[in-house]
Amino acid sequence: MLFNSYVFIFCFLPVVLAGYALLRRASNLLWPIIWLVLASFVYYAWWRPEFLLLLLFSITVNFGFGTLIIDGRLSRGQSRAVLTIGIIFNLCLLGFFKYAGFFVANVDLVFGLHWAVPTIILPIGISFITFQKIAFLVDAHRGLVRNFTLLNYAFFVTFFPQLIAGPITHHSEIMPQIGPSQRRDLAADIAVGLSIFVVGLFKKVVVADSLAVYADAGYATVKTGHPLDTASAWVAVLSYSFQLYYDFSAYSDMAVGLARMFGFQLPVNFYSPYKSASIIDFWRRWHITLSRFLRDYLYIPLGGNRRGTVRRYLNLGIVMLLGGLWHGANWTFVLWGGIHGLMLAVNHAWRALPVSRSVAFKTRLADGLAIAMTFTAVTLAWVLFRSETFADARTMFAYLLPLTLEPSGWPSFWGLLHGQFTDIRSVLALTEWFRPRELWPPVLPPDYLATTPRPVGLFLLCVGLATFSFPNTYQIFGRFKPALGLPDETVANGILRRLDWRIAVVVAGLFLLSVLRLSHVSPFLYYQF
Amino acid sequence: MVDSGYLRALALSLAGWLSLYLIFTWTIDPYGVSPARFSLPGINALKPKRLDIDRLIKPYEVWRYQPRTIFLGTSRAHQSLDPSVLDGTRFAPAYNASMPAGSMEMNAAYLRQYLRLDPNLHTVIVELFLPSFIGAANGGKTGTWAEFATNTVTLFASADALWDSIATLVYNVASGRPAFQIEPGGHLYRPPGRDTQGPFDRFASYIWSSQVSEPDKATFNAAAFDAVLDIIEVARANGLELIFLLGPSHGYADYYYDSIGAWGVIEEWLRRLSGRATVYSFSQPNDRVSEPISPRMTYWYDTFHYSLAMGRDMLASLAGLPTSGLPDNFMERLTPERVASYIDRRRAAVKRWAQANPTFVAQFEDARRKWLAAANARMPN
Repeated sequence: MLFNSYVFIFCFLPVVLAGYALLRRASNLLWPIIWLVLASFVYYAWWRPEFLLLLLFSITVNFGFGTLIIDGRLSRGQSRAVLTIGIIFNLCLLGFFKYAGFFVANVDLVFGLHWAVPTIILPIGISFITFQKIAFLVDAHRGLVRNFTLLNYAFFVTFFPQLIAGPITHHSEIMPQIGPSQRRDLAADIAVGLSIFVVGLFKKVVVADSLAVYADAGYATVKTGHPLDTASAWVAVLSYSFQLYYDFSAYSDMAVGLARMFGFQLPVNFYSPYKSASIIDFWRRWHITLSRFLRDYLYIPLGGNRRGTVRRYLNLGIVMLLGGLWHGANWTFVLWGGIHGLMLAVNHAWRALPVSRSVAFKTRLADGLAIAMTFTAVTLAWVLFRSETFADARTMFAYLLPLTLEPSGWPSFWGLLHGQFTDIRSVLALTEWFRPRELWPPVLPPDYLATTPRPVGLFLLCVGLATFSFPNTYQIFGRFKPALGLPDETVANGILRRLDWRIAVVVAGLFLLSVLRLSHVSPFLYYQF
Repeated sequence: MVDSGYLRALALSLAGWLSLYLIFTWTIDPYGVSPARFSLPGINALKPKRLDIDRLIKPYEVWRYQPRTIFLGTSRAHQSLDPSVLDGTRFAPAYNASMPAGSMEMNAAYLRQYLRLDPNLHTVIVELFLPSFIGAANGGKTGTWAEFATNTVTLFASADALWDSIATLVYNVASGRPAFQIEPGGHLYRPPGRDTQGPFDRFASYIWSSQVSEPDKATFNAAAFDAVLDIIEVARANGLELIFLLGPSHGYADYYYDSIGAWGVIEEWLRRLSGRATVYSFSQPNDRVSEPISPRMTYWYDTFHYSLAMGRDMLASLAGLPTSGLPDNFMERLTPERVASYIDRRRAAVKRWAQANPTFVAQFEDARRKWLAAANARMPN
């Protein structure tokens, strides 16, 4: 069940909220939590009910490991052994479902064994759930776990706002909130949470999904072996960069908003990463809880930066390679992670140089250039992230960087500019404007993306301006303490001082636009060519 | 600080926005589906966005209008058969439910859906398009109620409806020129003045371009014929009158069929079909079918699409309405016994036509040679 679906918005969420509100009145404070756990089971089972059994099995086994570790009867060494077994158990589950096919395919490729590559359906959210459970076991071993019961543990793992795609929470972040959440002002929490959820929904269905049409068309064109001109390639690559940004930002907002409706705060997971002036800063703002997990449970145990410069960079590389692999079972993800590891290493090396602390690099101009460089580097790295094969990525890079003055090279940007911004007749006719259509790449000419779907140039410009100049959701709602781990100034200087009728009018408008956008009138493509 | 009335204000604002949305989009009505049905010249009379969305609106309009007769077929029927011609006849009310680029498999699937949506359905007129029978299978599946509901909701409540309402309003205010649009009867309205000669001039390069998937050698498309049998069976099981129409075919198209050796295949399926169902042909060689090429033609829009004028005469002939100036052989009922002579007449006619049009033949064969060379180059060694 997706957050951006009719069934979630108009059926699941209202029912769960109503049930939660009713059960909060019961004298036993466990009932609301039981209700949320059951609702989360329904949420998880919606796609494939059989995977709920897997989740329940995994919860039961991990609860057993946790009980052994927390019980206090094990020696430190025995506790470590149980922890190790628990981690292996969770990694085996992840490995089987996510990486078995990848492993077999690569062994087959190297040794020519002609093995049949197994088709294994990936349980939704397993990557996040696995990391969350590993983090719990480690925290338990470190003595950081309190209020450990089966119900609390099941709630911690399955709480539906964060179940599928994070943020990856710590047990210690959620458990202390269970009691107080029952005593909070529910109406106020719903007001704040719903408003944040609507902002996320708008980002997802209006911004990200609109950009997806152009990104998908561009990458599909490359995949099918058809050419793209340079401007169209940049349209596709930038569209994907912003699509991913707003998709993840939207999901994070929706997760935070949903949790808040039930009186919980989730850790901040996304904080304007494209405003980062360095790759180091980028990873402190992008998927923050994943970075935190990799740092605390991989980088530091590997030795972190305590074993010399070379080892530090090596550790960074290992962490980012594995981080890349975590995103998907494909070598393109591994290389993407490796490139980020390399960029992080270069960034750290640069910061170690005295010249990097020069006042010349403290100006607004230098800062702007650094942000532009970081954005460009991250966007180019996304090409690997989005491409299904190295060959596709190489082809896309070739289209992005032409060394030619032929029409498909640099001059194609004139076509983009003219097509998007100077064809006044098209503006009046409103034939294509703000109407992303599903595109059929095999029959599109190379300059199609740059010249024909009129909104894309202006749309990308607007999205870019908004990305780099608008405050983020937390800066807007900061005074309402929407998430854990926000900078103090974000909380203190939140733009909205109160939620009143004027905000309600805006939020309602965004909600209506978003819900309307959930369905599409998709004109028949036959007439486009 | 959250105002105590915030959630109430949110609900009221939402109701207000929704009301504004519905008033605006149902008044402008970009897809012509609104229950209000205001037609305001300069505001919403022209509906340029009621175009290319046949798959969305036609099931809905079949359900809404409950026609007695529906047309199934491809873009030819879509562009040329105006159901209002049948007003006052035993076929009325009729609706043109044909789908551009539709296949026989899709026709069968849509027929099943329309039967569920329209208990009043009595007659189905199915257009036959020769390439549907000589190419590869093109599947179709019956639409579900869920899809029908989703599509209908989309027409009334979507961001596209809002944007298209704005676009429709701007178009009516700023332009006011007649636009391509699907008429209330389901057929396409084409603004007058389009050059008809261009498509004929480009036919040879078009039909042999890499974007056209027509075969260079005709084979019997068994799936399409199975779909025809399915349509016949569905019609029989539901007590429907079923009529197949073989539309006019210009010399350009007949030359193409001839060049890929399609006559044997066409003869086979026409013989099999006419033995099982009522088939009327309008492609006998006559002066309407072979109207001379010019920038403004009466009976043809392009090489494959005959005009509303041609379609009007076809429907009038079918319904027994008075007509004037029609060739004697304009409409012919095909039976298994007559198919062989019918094919012979068309083959002979296309030979004569080719002799009379050597320039076209030269262009066509040149384009075909190039296409074959390119196709051979793409073949793996």
